[in-house]
Amino acid sequence: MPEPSDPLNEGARRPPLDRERPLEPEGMEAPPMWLWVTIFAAAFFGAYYMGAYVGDFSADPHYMYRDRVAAVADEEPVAVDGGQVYTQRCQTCHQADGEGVSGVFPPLNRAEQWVTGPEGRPIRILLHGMEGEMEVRGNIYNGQMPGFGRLDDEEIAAVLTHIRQSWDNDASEITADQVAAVRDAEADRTAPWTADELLTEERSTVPGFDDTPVADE
Amino acid sequence: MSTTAAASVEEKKMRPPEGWREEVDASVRWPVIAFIASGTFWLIVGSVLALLASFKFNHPEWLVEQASLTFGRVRPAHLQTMIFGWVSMTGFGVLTWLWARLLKTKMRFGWLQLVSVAVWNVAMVIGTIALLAGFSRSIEWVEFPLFVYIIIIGAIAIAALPLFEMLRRRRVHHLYVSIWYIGAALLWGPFLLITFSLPIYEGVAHATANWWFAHNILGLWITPVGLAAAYYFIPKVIGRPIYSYHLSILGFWTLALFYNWAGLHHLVGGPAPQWGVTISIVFSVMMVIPVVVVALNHHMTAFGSLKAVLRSPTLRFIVFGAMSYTAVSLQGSFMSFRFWQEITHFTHHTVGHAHLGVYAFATMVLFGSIYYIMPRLTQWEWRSSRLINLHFWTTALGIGMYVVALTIGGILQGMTLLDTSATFMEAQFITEPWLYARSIGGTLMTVGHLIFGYLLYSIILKKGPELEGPVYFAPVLRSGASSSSAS
Amino acid sequence: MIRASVLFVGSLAAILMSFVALSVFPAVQLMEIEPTEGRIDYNFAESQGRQVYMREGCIYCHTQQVRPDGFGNDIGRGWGTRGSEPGDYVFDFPHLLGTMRTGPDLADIGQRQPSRDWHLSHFYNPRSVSEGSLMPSYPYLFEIKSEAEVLASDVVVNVPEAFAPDEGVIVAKEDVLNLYAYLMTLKQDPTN
Ligand code: HEC
Ligand code: HEC
Repeated sequence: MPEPSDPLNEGARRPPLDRERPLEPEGMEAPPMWLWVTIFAAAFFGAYYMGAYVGDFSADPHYMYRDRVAAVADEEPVAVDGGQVYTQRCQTCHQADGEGVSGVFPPLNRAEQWVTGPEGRPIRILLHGMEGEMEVRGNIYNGQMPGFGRLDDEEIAAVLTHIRQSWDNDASEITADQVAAVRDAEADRTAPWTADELLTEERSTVPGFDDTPVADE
Repeated sequence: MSTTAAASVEEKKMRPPEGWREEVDASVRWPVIAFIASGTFWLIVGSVLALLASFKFNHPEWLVEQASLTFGRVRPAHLQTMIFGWVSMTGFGVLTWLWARLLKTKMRFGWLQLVSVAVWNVAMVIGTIALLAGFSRSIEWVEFPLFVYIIIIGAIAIAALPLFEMLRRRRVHHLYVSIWYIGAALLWGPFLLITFSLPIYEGVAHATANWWFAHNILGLWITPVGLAAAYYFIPKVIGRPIYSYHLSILGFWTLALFYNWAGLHHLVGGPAPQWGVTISIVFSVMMVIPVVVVALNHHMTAFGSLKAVLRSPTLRFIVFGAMSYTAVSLQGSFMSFRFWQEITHFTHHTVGHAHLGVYAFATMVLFGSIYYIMPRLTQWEWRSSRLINLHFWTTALGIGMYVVALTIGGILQGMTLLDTSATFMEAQFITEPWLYARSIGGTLMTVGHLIFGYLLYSIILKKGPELEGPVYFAPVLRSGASSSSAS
Repeated sequence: MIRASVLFVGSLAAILMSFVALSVFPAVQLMEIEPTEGRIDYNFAESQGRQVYMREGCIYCHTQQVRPDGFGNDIGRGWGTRGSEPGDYVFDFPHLLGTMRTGPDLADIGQRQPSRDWHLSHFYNPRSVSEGSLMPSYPYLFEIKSEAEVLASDVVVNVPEAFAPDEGVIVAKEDVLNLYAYLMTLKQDPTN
């Protein structure tokens, strides 16, 4: 369409109201064919999508994922990644570099008596948590480490192996069987551990697994 | 064609007298100016709050000592002042003017609207202070204390009364499409506010009602006013009829039927019943229909008038807005799909989308309308086309940066969150450069608002030189072969 | 269109339909929902804490809804063990589901991070425990007292030296303790 000459009525150097032109009544063009096609396609899609996902109008928010959840549950359990458990569960306090937060959360790196100490100790810390005064790398901490007994044996073993072998640490792997053994032995316990308790011989070992190498002491 | 013939006979009987425009404009002058000026005041308040919130993302330690300036209070105060202050009040001024012009009828009881402006402003002041003082209801889009909305509903009702009264004395037979949108919005807005204030929701049902409401405030209160203005000003300024009446009808009724079902897509994946979310996705997709129809109608009308669009401030802002409307709506239909929401839901992407709607569409259309309306109400020209030009480019580039930054940043954020091997902090870090770009875009927009505020102040008080003839942008294109520009 | 009545009746009918279907009907359908096992109404401190959460606008950065296995990666991130259900929210008004995840989802924070020390240090300054966090500090929820003024009932907050005030100790105000109490109610399995 050619542009009307002087579309803005610029010739009219007059006050605003006088240079206005009337509003034309609407045109009467017929909607183009492709528009009807688009409308039909949208309506068709809508009907299909509604049928596929309306989920019987049940109040269930995850209706369409239920089958899928069951299918996932049936799958073989995949090997647990200790590094991932660490990022999800421990990193907020002990930080990515394992150095903790000075004065508040103790480091896991080079925490010789604890992380890389006799296997029974870190397992107990993880199962029931720990509180009260303790010393790591010459600094005193007095906080509360939450228990992670809710995690299963594989997960605990994986994350402990991970921290025992990350950064500057290099200690033996911890197995799910060892975690299970400690869990059984301490089944009655609910309170968190204190440093004094954990530093005893009895609380450093894993029942049924002999000659735990004692690195320090 | 007998019906059209009969209609035009009717039309002739009702024809208003010569000089009706002066009469009509004079009857709405002060209410409309009051609405527009108040809205602009809230625009500037809202911009300051927006900048505070945005810069806090870049410097989380900035201004943390004062409780009233914490991010979580400034952010809702920004949204509320923009929606219920700027867009709603200015929108009311614009729709009042359009209504009077299109019915060719003088407004009686204009003082009711002045009362409404006063009451509305008081409500806004109370609400904003309440939010900053820590009385947020923490319901998105309705954070003010409940009684503030009751006052606002009252203010809308008082302001709408003179409009409904005019319908009965109208001097046109046929109701133009802008009237349909405005008339419907005048019912929808209060309906939404009232029904959502009912004490019948709890837990998850409160969330479904919340998003039904919030999406509709955009779709059934703000959008109709923007579309009404575009439907009026595009043909009016270009001097060419709207492309098709059939499309107008189709566009209006499909919008009325589809838009209000789309809100629950905000709850995808959450604890709301799956059927509700599914219905909302379906209707979000169906929104393609009214959007394409309206786009066709607007763009076919403006098509071929590039020069007019470049030279007239009104047209330039409004065509920018109409194009943004097409873009934001098509984006919205696409964004509702589950596969896409899996990435972008809960990210900054959504915030970018919201601003494409409320700013690039609604706000730009309001600016354009005001550039047309004010000289007619004050009988005075805008003081400088340079400043208007600057206003256009700061806001257009600002919102462009804003939307592009958050659209990309949000996608990156969403993809990182989906990647189990990436930590949460990595997902946050990846957004940071884009959040900087957002702050810069926001600053540009705020500069534009200050310029606009200054222009508005000048024209209301008739400051500046006494000009003759319209204030247009300087010609950018040389005259083509087929047409000649003003000589 | 010529008749205004057609316009008004039509547009009112349109909105009424969706209002009934998307606002009223879910309210009716969800009225009978049983709370998740173990979930009980908030006690006084917890509901005060919820008010603090609302007042400070935590909702603009945090969601409280876990997406199910198969949609998104919420469970993979350790934000919960199942998709959130309506029963998790029966005592909630207003709802605080949220729509932004500038910060992590909090639907299961009570399980994931029960440590009061951690939360208090984090609220005092998030960067003290989470380097580079964009979350604002809330110093006004704490008081700085000199060592001598500290009462036996005061909760002293332990933050790393770099973040501690030059003098005195940080004491948590009641608001932030309530906020902590509220966060601890956010568990997908409240029996735990
Ligand atoms: C809420 C913060 C927090 C979280 C989360 C946390 N810890 Fe701890 N952790 C602590 C605190 C505090 C101590 C010190 C306890 C004390 O002072 O008695 C500690 C101590 C420890 C210790 C012994 C001290 C040392 O430095 O070696 C180990 C081992 C340990 N945590 C491992 C873990 C592992 C593994 C995880 C993740 C599964 C984890 N922690 C999660 C806070 C936390
Ligand atoms: C500006 C956005 C923002 C606001 C407002 C905000 N947060 Fe955060 N929040 C974050 C970010 C980002 C993180 C992740 C980094 C970190 O741990 O600090 C976070 C982390 C958290 C965490 C730890 C989550 C976890 O999984 O470790 C908690 C708890 C939390 N915020 C609570 C709150 C509360 C309560 C409020 C309101 C008083 C609040 N936040 C306000 C951004 C915000």
